[in-house]
Amino acid sequence: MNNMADISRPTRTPQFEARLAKRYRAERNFKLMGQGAIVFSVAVLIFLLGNMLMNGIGGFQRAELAVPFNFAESGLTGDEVSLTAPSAVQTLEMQGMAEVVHFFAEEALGTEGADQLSDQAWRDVAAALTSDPALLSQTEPVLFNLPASSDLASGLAGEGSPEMQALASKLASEGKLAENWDWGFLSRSDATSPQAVGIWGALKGSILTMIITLVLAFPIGILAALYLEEYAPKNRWTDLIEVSINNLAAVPSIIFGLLGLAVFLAVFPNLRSAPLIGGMTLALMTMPVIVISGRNAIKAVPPSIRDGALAVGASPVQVVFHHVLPLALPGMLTGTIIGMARALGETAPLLLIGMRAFVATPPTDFMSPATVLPVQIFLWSDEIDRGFVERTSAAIVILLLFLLLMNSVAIYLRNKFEKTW
Amino acid sequence: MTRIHDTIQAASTALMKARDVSVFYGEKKAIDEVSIDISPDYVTAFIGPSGCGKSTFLRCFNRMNDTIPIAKVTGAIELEGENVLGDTMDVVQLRARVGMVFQKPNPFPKSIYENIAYGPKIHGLAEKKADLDAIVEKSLTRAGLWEEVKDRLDDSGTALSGGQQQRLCIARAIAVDPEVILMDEPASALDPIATAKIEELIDELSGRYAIVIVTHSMQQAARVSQRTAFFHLGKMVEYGPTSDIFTNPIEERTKDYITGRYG
Amino acid sequence: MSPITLILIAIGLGLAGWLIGRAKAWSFQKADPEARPASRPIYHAWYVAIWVVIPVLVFITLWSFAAPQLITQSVLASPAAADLPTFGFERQAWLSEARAVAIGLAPGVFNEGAEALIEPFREAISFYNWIGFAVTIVIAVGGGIFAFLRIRPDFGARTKVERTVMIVLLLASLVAILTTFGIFASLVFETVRFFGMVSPVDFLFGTFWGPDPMSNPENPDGSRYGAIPLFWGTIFIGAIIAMIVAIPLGLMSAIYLTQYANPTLRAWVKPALEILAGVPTVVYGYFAALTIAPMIRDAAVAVGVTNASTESALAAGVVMGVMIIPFVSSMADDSIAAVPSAMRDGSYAMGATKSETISRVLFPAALPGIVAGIMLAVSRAIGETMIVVMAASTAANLSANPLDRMTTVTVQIVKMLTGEGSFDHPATLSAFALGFVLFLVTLALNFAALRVVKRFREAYE
Repeated sequence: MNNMADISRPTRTPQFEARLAKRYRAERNFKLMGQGAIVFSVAVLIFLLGNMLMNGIGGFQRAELAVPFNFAESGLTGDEVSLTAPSAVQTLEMQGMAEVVHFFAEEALGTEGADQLSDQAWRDVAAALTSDPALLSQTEPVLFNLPASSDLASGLAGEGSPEMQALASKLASEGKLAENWDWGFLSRSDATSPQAVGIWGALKGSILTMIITLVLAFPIGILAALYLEEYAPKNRWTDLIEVSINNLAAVPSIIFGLLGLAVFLAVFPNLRSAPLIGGMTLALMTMPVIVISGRNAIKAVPPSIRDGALAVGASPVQVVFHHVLPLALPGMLTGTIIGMARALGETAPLLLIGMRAFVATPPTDFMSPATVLPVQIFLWSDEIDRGFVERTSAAIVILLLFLLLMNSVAIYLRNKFEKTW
Repeated sequence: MTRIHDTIQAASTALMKARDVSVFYGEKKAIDEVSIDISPDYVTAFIGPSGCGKSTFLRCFNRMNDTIPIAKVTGAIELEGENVLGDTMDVVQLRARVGMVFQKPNPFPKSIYENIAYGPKIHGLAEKKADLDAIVEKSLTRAGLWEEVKDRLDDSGTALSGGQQQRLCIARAIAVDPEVILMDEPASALDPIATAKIEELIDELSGRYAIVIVTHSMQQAARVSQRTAFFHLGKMVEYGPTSDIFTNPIEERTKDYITGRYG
Repeated sequence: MSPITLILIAIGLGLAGWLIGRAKAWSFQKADPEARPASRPIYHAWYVAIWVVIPVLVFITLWSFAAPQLITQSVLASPAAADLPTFGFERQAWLSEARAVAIGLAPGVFNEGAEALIEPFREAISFYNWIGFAVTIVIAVGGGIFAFLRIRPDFGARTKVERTVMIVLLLASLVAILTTFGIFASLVFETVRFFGMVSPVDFLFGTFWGPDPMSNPENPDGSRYGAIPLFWGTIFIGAIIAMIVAIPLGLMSAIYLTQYANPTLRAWVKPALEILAGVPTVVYGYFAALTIAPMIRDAAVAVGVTNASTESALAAGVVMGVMIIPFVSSMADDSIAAVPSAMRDGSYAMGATKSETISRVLFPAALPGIVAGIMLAVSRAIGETMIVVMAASTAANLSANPLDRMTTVTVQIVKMLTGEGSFDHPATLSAFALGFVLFLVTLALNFAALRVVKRFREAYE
């Protein structure tokens, strides 16, 4: 540094130098604060995702008891026809299948162990039988890994009553109780015991709801975007439409739930938990997002394209549909996918319109009672049973995976088709 | 090879000495080994056709090229024995000593008072409000703006006319009492009357400050400067007393530019 | 025959009509190759298709409302319905079960009384299915024939088709107005009904919130509907605690990313922040309830505060703040980037450090945009539901202690509407009144933010 202090120049005094040091310190601290903010935000994200993942891994497993089932000795009757009929499971139930399963379980696990078999466990055996009636004539015992009760599952995890924990470790050391990968989680539906729940019911409900949302919101959104950008005259009506759309995009989602409750359910009172109503409500919520992103995509198409088309004599409708729309479509799709991803994660409006039914079987069509994945997560989060914590986290993992997939597709589309004119 | 007129002597009062300064934008060489002395005894003008690099060279003196990531500056610029371009030079202090006025007036969106007070405040040049008031008044007076704005110091700096805004920017630069003032086409965005005022100001300010002015108007260079350097395609082609450059240019290229063959 | 099947039939007929229309138009061209028809064949095709499909779609929409009513009516008129309970839950159950069996969804009924209704349902469903099918065909074919007959070489099919297209586009845009109007109308309607039972003064200024959904709706106790604790909870959690977290972190992130970070860091951190914004709120809520709230409670107890709740306002507020960080960060990012670089250069040329330039020049210049961003963030926070439903309480507390339980407007909306209450009870209607207040406040915030941004833009243009 320059040592010649020239008092006539105030920027060369020792005080200035001292102050300079302070200023650089302040600069360093400021930069540190910025880094800290970023580190904190990313850390929270990682903490959140890691937390869910760690808890969720256990959700893809469940405690199962090994029960060899001898069909030939079971005393069950039936043939090819009766065992593949729709009511086959009920027939088996009436034949006392549950007791038979319990009997074999007692043989293998002892009374205490058999008592800890999940009370719906017999259905797994029934399901195997109805899909392969030839099993009935099997003389060799077939090994089934049947779900344990949630009490025993807790015991295996080291929680719950001491008796359960003791029983669990005894059975586990005998190789009769184990934590197995539970892929059935992805194909079952809601149930009262965490051992028996699955997300397929909610997932299918989500898919059906999303289909309705897409079918309604996408055409309306795109057409509205085209109208506003290409044809709308500059008058008060157009302003009103634009203001409406911008407002709707910023309205809290719960308000749409109120709207759905007041209007849709008043018109269709018996469709309370139906994907149709849920889809319509979410469509209203998603449509403004699609309109806004659609308009941006259309705005990005340069006027020269339109001018060129008009110059060869295309009508206004032809210009838009033959020339502008194809070029704007990738951008519109990106915005739509992002809007749909948002809709997939929505919970509050669907709670209000009643999509919180206890859905033990997957919905069959758009009008049957259903629930969606985020609502299922919400309902499970309220459960007292500790076993539900892992299941809820696993469901969250599935939901996040779907969102990741959708957003990745959107980003891929955006990068692939983003043209700079 | 720069043609330096014989009448130029190595000024003993040279404040800043540039030696073999080159500027690269990535691979492209924008300034090629330029050397020149800057002194408060004379106003120096850089002239040349657009794109010749005069603004780029000007920005080397207060290291404003640092804000451009791909720019690389080589050579040396001495300020009282220390190399401005070196690692040990403190950029903050440098810029307090070497001020700059830009082509388009850029007052901050603050009041007139706060615009002027900005420099003194950050550099801690005034401890008491009274001192700050004094600096503001002195700077505005020196910039010839005090009478016009003394009653409305709280008005926004952006509410002034173009010419007033530029004088405000000059006052702002003066407020930290720099040694050198760099001016990058200060009047090119202004009307003729405002331009005249600025040129008057330059005249008054020279002597206390070493002024370097980049201009695309040869007439302006002729009016305000005592020494002129002609740049072409990144090289300093000719350097000499302003009157000689304009009446007796030695190099062909200089002659062509002066006579308007190209511009 | 579900509406979907009918729609598919309509589309199929529309396709047929399209082909027929085009064929006829082609025949004109063949007959007189020299003449230029008013429209290309393809527009004639579309014209026919439109006349087939659109009337049918209108019919199907109306039919899907009418048909279930007609079916139920005819079942009720049949002799088997004589034994039906006259009202209530059982009546609905019998009808639903019988219908389910008739459609084939269920193998049998639980209530034996419903057994008798199965056959009438089967007959009625079958009957009305055929009627629906027949009318669909008639309308489709009728429309098709009408359009077909109008096709002539000089027929301006293209203009007609394009006009239809424009009308469709306009209708699509009107959906937005319709929705806004629908929201406004439904909220106002129910709110007015609510204020008929509970005075607005009690609602807006009362400090006790404890509605009893089981109480007699004839004589509502207005003093139980004081919404101040709710408003306070909403503001405390969403506008205060969440903003204390989100504003500094969002601003400093934006500043660091735009002014200091190298491109690689930016390329990784920006998506990370976007992920934060994309996580569904139910996940945040669960995270808050499962992990954060106990952490806060344990920390509070360790410091000596023993009555800290596990449903503290702090837990919900902090997690909500984290969720909002990306909103603040991106608005701040845009605002700071919009400041002309001449300002930045001017400040650097004066010898200011980076932090001085940012805090003294860039930030004040970007302030309107940042303020607008914060207002939008607040609007988002107070409208947020799941995080507070899962992490905050339903206890309407009027407290300034962040470790206390508190509830918000959105939590109470959910609570009042997911109970056993009937639709006429003031407790249920209060949810709409709360929703209306929420709607107005968020609207006001959004308008204000827009105005601020507009004035901001004018300052630079």
